[in-house]
This record gives sequence, structure tokens and C-alpha cells, in this order.
Amino acid sequence: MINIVTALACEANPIIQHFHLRKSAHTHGFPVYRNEAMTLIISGMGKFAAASAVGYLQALSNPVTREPLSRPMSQCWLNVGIAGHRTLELGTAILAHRVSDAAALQRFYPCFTFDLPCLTAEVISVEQAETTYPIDAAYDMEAVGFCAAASRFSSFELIHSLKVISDNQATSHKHITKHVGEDLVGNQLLLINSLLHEFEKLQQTSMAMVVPPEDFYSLTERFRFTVTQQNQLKRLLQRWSTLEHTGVAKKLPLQDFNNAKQVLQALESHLQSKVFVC
Amino acid sequence: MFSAIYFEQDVSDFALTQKTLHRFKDVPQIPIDRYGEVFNRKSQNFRLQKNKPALILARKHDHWVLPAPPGYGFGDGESYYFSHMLNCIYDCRYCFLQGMYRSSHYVLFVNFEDFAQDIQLKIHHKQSRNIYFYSGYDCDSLALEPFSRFTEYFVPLFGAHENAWLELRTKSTQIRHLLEMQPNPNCVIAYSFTPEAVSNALEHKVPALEKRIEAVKKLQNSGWPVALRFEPLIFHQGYKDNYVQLFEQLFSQLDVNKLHSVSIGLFRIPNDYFANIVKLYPDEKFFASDFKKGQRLTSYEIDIEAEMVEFCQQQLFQRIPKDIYYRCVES
Repeated sequence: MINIVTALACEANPIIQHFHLRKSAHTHGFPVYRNEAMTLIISGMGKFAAASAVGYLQALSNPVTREPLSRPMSQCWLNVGIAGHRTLELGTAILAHRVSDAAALQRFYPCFTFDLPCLTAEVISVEQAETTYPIDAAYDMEAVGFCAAASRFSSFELIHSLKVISDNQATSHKHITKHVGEDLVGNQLLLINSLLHEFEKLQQTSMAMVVPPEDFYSLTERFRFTVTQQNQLKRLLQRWSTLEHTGVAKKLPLQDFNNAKQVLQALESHLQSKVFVC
Repeated sequence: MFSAIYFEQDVSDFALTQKTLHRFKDVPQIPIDRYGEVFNRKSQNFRLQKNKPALILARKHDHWVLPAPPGYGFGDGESYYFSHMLNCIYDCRYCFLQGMYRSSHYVLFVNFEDFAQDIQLKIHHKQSRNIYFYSGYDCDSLALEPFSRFTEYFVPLFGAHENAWLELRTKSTQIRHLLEMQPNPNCVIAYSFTPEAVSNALEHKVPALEKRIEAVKKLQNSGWPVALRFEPLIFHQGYKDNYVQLFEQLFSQLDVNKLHSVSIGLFRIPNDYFANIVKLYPDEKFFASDFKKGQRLTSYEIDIEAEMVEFCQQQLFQRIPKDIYYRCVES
């Protein structure tokens, strides 16, 4: 799942329309929109709101499952919004290469593992709209909260913040209206699309690291495994699926086994003499 | 080549930093305080980062040169290793680095002079006794050579000391600078090899076997001492045929009489590193085969190890004199 966090409705609207997201009726506290591949949440302004929204979305999309080995580190997180910058032209899109708060007490470094589709810049999250732009950085109000929260759930390769420059030294933030915000984000839909495409590829790799192998659920339903045994089973099944390319039931007499220990022993014994084939 | 370049502000004035930033102008350049801000933090994934790692230019503040693990290397005296870089541009699936770090960014320590000073200090302390230095333990010695010019700096340090040796361990074909230099009899360029089929399956991004053999030939022809390292030995179906083929490929093209040394070493990886790597690559065929988890290290079963060592030694001794052979017994 790809999660998008925006502060304002005007930043979200072009994305909602473009990706045909539908408002979720069963959420509280934040407006949430989804389709099958992505979820968008409108956090409201400020780093605390952004962090809360991330936490809320994570809880929504990863409720406590029956699967104790779940490591939901494979979700992608994209913060989309507008920001001010001293020199960059209005409408310029940047990906954050460093995100910090104004005092630089918290610093995050989103990690680019794909060809960059746009410029990158430092993003500094401030409490109130920045009007003096003291350094060459993009100024927003949410990215640091977003990163702080998202990095609890995903790795930094899957967390990015995309900002569209809405104001600079020549054009004050006071000109920003709902329509301006919509246009700024709306003009970057192609870029957003290409980022989401990269996210999908990363997510596939990431999922391969965490998804339990075939047969895991059927076996844990059929036999009672302790948590330690579940870990052993998971690894044995990973090896099995890599080497055998067929389900366990086709090669092991599961009907003859009475307990989890026997299943593990049979798997181990079967895999014991397997030799690496280049 | 890199997704970004992070540089410690502390080293921004270093010539190597300046040259690197200039060379990669189009890559995002991000100042940092310490490389630990970016490298090996929590919430990083080695496998995902390996898609496109960043380069981090940093200063190493201490422990420039460290004692080599017992049994490592060819030396009969005191042995040390040093790493001017952390992580490798190659992506060998059997490599311990994948399990050691959460991050696959490359850290290049640009304060070469501190490493050099430490090396010289250790040589000085040893006076006339033999002392050996190994590079390429936490990285590939030559991989970033085109701009790090590592050899240009370090090789000359070993010209003046008869009793001090340097081994540069590599799989790289970046030998242009070495070929431009006067060969140094105390600097050994040690190439690691596995059979071609293994290399194709497990040594991602490594130059093709023939290209590496070509590089070794060039170095040998220009007078550099060259060594061959069959480390780690990889057990696989048909390993006997494949190792024989590899030995044939190498020894039919290289001048055996000019080889500095030949060694074999076993696959050994700390248990926790191995577990980390398996988490990254649960579907990797290499890890799906059978390994033995010992008290501290994961390895092949002893009988498999013994069989491989015996076979490879036997084959090697048909092609090389015994006195240039050693077995790396690093534990």
C-alpha cells in the first residue's frame, strides 16, 4: 500500500481526482481517501498533525493481525504539499533530501534508490509560515512530523516528501489560495505518478522480504506452532519454496503428522542435503 | 553512479572531497555533520539501498589500522588491515557486509594521511621485522579508484620499507593507475575468484571473469606481484568440474612462476550477520541450501569443507608450486 499525506484539502484534491480515490466512510479524525493501491489522508497543518495522521493511517492499514511474524515495513509513504523557498521559482517541485525542524534537533535523510525525477532540496519544517527564507531550503510545516512518524513503520527508502514551491522572496505566501494550491500540486501529477511507479517497484522488493511463504498459514492453522516454531517454519518454508517450486503437501505426508514438531522435522530432513545449484 | 553524495562539513576542504563533488556535479550534494547521521541508522534497508547507494565522504577519527583476524593473509609476521572505505560497489550474495550494515551506502574516508601515518607508525615500531597490511576487507580496494586514487596515495608508502607489505584485495578491473605506476614488489594485488557459474549467480555487478583475468594478466605483464584468492570456496552442484575449469582458465593464461601467492578460504559468516542476510534475501537459492550454524559462525558442514579443501588443494598443486600456496584459516 502507498500512503499519501497532505496537509490541506487543496493539496489533496488533484490527487484524489487523478487517482479516483473515494472517501472512506469509516474513519474518524482525519479525512481518508482510497483506491485499491493507495490511501490518502489530509492531516491538517503542522508537524504534530502530520505525525498523528501517519500513525492513524498506519493503524488503519495494519490492524493487529493473526500473523505474529508480521513486519509491516513495506508500506510506502509520500508527503505531498506546498512550501516556500528563497530562490526557487514558483511551481518547482523538489524531493526532500534532508528534513529537519527549525532548530535542526531532528534530522531525517530520505534515501533515493531510484533515478531522481526532479530537483532535491533540504526541507525545514517551521511552526509558522516562513517569510524571510534564511537559507537555501524549502520551508514547510509538516515534513519533519511526517518523517518522524513514518520512519517508525517503514525504512527511509520508502519515505519521501515532495514539495511544490508556492512562495519565494518575490512572491509572498499571502497570495496562496485554495485554487493556487490545487494548481501547484495538479501540475505535478505526472511527477507524482512516476514517483508512485518507483514506489511500487520498491514495495515489491520490500514485500519479498516480509511476506510469509506459501503454506505458512495453512500449516499454522492445521498444527499448533509456538512463536519460536513459527519462525523456524517460516524459514524452512522459504527454503522449501526456493528449492522445490511446489507446495509442501505434494511432497510431505501431512496427514501422517500429529503435531508441529513432526512437521518441522520432516521439512528439515527434506531440506538437509540440498545443494546450491547455480 | 550514486544516488546522492553526503559530505561531512569537516572534510569539505579536502582535495579529494572537492574533486569528488566537482566530478559528480549533477548528483545531489548534501552536507552532514557526521557520517553516522546517514550511514547505518535504524529504518534503513541494505537491499533497497543497494538499488542505488549514495556516497558518503567522511573523516575516520581513530582506529585507522587494526590487527588482522588471526590466520588472515599470507604474512609470517604481524598483520593489520585498514579500510579507507566501508561497503563495496559490488553485490556478492555471500558477502558479510550485507549482514553487518543496515546501509549499503559507500563511506569513503578522505583523510588518507591519518591512515598513512598509522601505517608508518606501525612499520616504524616493527623495525626490521616483517609486517603486513591488508586492504579490501570492508570494501573493494580498487573499486572507486578512478576518483579516489587510493593506490596513488598508499602504494608509495611501501616502497621505502623492505619488511612491510601491502595486499590490495579486489575484484575490480580499475587498474589504469597501477599500470601507470612503477610496480612495487611489496604491494601485492590479490584477485578473488569463484567459478564462472558461481560468479554469474552470486557476484552481482562484478566484472566478467574474463575481464578480471585480463586485468590480472596486464598487471603481471607490467611487473606487479599478483596473487589469486579462492575465497570463499562455494559448495555447489558440479563444484569439482567448475573449480577445475576456473583453475584451467586462470593458470593457462597467467604466468605461474610470477604469482606471488595462491590461497583458499572457507565460507564463514557470524550467525547474526547470516540471519540478517537471510532476512534480506529469503528467496536466494544460495541460502536455501544447507549450512551449519555453529556457536558463533555459520559455515558448511565440516565434511563438505574438508572435501572441498582437499579437492581444490589437490588440483592447485598440479598447477602451482606448494610454496606459494597458503590456506586462509580466519575464524
